Amino acid sequence: MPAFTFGAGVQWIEAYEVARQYNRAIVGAAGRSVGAAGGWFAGGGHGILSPNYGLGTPNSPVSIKLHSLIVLQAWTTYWR
Amino acid sequence: MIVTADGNHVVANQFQNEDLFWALRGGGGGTWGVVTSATYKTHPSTPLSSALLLANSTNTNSTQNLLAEIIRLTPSLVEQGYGGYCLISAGQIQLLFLSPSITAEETRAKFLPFFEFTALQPGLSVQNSTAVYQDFWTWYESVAVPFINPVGIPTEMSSWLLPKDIIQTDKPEDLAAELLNITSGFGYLSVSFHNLGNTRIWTLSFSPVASSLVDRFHVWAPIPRDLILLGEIAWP
Repeated sequence: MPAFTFGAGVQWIEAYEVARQYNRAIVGAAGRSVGAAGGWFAGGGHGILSPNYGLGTPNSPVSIKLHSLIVLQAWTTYWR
Repeated sequence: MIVTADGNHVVANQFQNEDLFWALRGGGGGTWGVVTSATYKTHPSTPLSSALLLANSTNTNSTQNLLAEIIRLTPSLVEQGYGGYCLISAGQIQLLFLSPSITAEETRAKFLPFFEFTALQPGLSVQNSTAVYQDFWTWYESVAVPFINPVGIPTEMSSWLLPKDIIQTDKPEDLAAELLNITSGFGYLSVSFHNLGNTRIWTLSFSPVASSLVDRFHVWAPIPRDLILLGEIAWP
């Protein structure tokens, strides 16, 4: 199962643009400037896709067996 | 990865620093350190079907009836995978639901009775529509981005989680009337704890409120309750 790693400072709108390039959907916040790494998932992580795919917290990586984890892109844009 | 209070930069996952990882998964904010990166699983990109409604109201009773109908519908919407945002005040209701697992025809059939109900309410000026988006980005770019302020909103939020059975056993009309006492308006969001994939509930540290609403002793069964999150906008 492909997974994405986002560095601190990446905003959800940037994360969604990357997901689109790989033709994947990802559960994230509606607010474009919400950070993709950090407080959003640490507080539970609500997204509009959550009723279907779960909250942000169960979408973080304990759900993925490591042998099937493929990190497609480590993508970091520190505070610009 | 996370920088902890002792200055170390460590990996937290199910194999390393498991206790820290548990605390991070729902335990909130920056309590446990500075998170420097996070890894998420992804899902197949699918078309999304959506329903929209915008109602301006001059009749408080009609607003209440419309909200009660939304509340009544919410548990079945969540079960069908619809996420959504509703922004509600006495004079206006904006409603948006979106699901990746339902066809356009099913969305039309699901919302038609609701749209017909709203058309019958006096004092409402209603626009409604259903739409299909080819993928999440298409929806996000055309609907969410223009709607949402790029730097957030000057509001202080508080919220409540309501278990599904409260919605199903209490009268939606009474809940609607109570909510409309929030004169600044409020947001109404559907949340679901039932879909955890293959994640076990004990590996998460949701707030005690949320945790108390799922049965920790029947973790192998589907989590029995969906929840609806309510956010009050205190500083319009």
